[in-house]
Amino acid sequence: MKIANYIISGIMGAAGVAFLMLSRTYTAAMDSTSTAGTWPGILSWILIGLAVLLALTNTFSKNIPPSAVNIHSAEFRAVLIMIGAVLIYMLSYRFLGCLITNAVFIPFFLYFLGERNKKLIVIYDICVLAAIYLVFEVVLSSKLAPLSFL
Amino acid sequence: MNVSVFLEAAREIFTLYGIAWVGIGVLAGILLGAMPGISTNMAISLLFSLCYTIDGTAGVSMLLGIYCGGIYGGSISAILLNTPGTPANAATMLDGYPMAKRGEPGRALGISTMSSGFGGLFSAVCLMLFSTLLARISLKFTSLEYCAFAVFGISIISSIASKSVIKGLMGGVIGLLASCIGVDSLTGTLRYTFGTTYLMGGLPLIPLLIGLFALSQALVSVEELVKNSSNENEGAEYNFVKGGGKKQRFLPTRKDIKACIPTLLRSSIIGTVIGAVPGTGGDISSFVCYNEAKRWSKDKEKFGTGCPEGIAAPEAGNNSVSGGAMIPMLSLGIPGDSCTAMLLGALMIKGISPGPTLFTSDLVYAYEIFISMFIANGLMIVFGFLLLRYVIRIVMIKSKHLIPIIVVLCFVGTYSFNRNYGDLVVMVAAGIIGYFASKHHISLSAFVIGYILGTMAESNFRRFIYIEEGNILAVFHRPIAVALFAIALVTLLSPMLKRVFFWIREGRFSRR
Repeated sequence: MKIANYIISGIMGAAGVAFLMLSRTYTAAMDSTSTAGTWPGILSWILIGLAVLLALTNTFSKNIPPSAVNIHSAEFRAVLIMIGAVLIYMLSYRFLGCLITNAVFIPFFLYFLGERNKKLIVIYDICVLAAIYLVFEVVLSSKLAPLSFL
Repeated sequence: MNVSVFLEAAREIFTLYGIAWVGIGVLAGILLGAMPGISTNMAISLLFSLCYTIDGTAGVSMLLGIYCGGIYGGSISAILLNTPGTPANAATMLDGYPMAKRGEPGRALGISTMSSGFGGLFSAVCLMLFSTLLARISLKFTSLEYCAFAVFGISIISSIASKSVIKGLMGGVIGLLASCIGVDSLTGTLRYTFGTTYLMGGLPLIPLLIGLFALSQALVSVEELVKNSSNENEGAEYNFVKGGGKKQRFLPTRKDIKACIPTLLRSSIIGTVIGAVPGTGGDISSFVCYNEAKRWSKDKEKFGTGCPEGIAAPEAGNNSVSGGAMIPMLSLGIPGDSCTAMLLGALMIKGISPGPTLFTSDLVYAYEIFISMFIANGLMIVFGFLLLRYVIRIVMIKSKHLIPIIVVLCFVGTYSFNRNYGDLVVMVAAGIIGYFASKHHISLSAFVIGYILGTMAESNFRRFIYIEEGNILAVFHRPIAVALFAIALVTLLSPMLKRVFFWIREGRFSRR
């Protein structure tokens, strides 16, 4: 967890500095005492302070627990593949729409997660698609994402 | 109580449409809560987008139904599988599972249903009585007190919800900063929008919630699934209790009811009080109630072997949190936990502003929420006893079949909210960041509460500065605000204070 804590401290510190720099550009004021950047400026300083505090406690504390994420483990690799799949799913959603994307990706997700029964995968896919269509399109009249080139 | 407004609210809710949506919410809450790995937060965030498409306050009532039903549903898997459906049901396992294992799962589930319903109804009564009272008092509050309440809420949730106080606070501060994105309400300045029109209205709440609580948890479930399958234990992960072939009776016996009444009353009071403190929740309440039930019991040794009071105490305790957490949410606009933060968001989407004005100008909405709470808890008892036989099958659904549905619902729900692809990007980003944040103990609940309370804290802080012409020391003229800031400070320092007390007790100082 020690290295992870330093990374978190660095990211938070950098975010704090970025928020602070930007807050200084918001000079529009309601009166002479505060501007639009006053509040985010205060928060940015607190965030920077917390980042420094995290780095200091991380350096001097002896009982830091081990990291909950093991980047060499099979489960973390699976999570990364899942994140990749979700990102592709998102792009596909943009161009192929809801129903086609789900028709393709639901079987992929099931297979990836260990389901090998082909009949069950097909039935499951059809049932989920039908349920989504019925609930969102028919009952709630909430349009599903269409094909972008139609 | 304004009777004519109450009757108007009742007329609005007691329609087939209104009751049907509460019922759907309760049923969905029970089903989702019963599935291990789906928390009440996740259940609400998955179905949050429906609230947008449902007319009037029925959508909020549906979310209330999920909130009440979700906590109860978690007890089903705690009793039958020895795996809590939600963290709030962990204490129920201690006696629920042993009772089920000795061939009485129906009895255990019946006591759990009765206790959950009792706790929920008790807290609904408290909500009705105390939120009106608190709202009346809060009318005297100025902008500084509201700012202090917001700081107090964030300080408590960050110190309780996270294993690391610093990281918990980081979550809260990032949430506060995220709430600054968009048009500044006081000067009209565009902040942190980077020239995009998408961010002018601020970060959208629904995609954020869905990403943080549903997609990130789906990723956690993938991790656990792979971990379990690599341990070759996936098939044996659940130890389902079927009841030894006996036909089960779900209604509790007169003897069980009589034995549980004092426990139910005590736990409901404790749960409601704990729920009303921002930052606490059903998980803390259920363990406190269990310990109190054990402490007050004449037969302490029967706890842990499947005694009725051991099920009644945590279940009444965790369900009574729902009404308690709604008290500060409705009367002050301060959410007690992440579920009520989402309910607050739902009310805001519907154009209802929780806070003292709700009890003056929008009283009918406040009454609609009270009535919905009663109906939700009533339906929870009815569904509990009538459908329990069928609902228990849901706990057998495997994670590998559940995760694809969660991912699909995340996307469909987010898109249906605004039909904007930008929302999908925000949801996915929130999901990925939420996964890594939760793995490193950065509190997501603190982020959400910071995000929701941010606008309130900022506008009231700046208004105070404006009124006092920059004199920040004027804080000391407002005793309630000083007290709240002091409590917030003590809460923040409490982990350090605890360590000092521990050192003193262990005599480390004297040895040195």
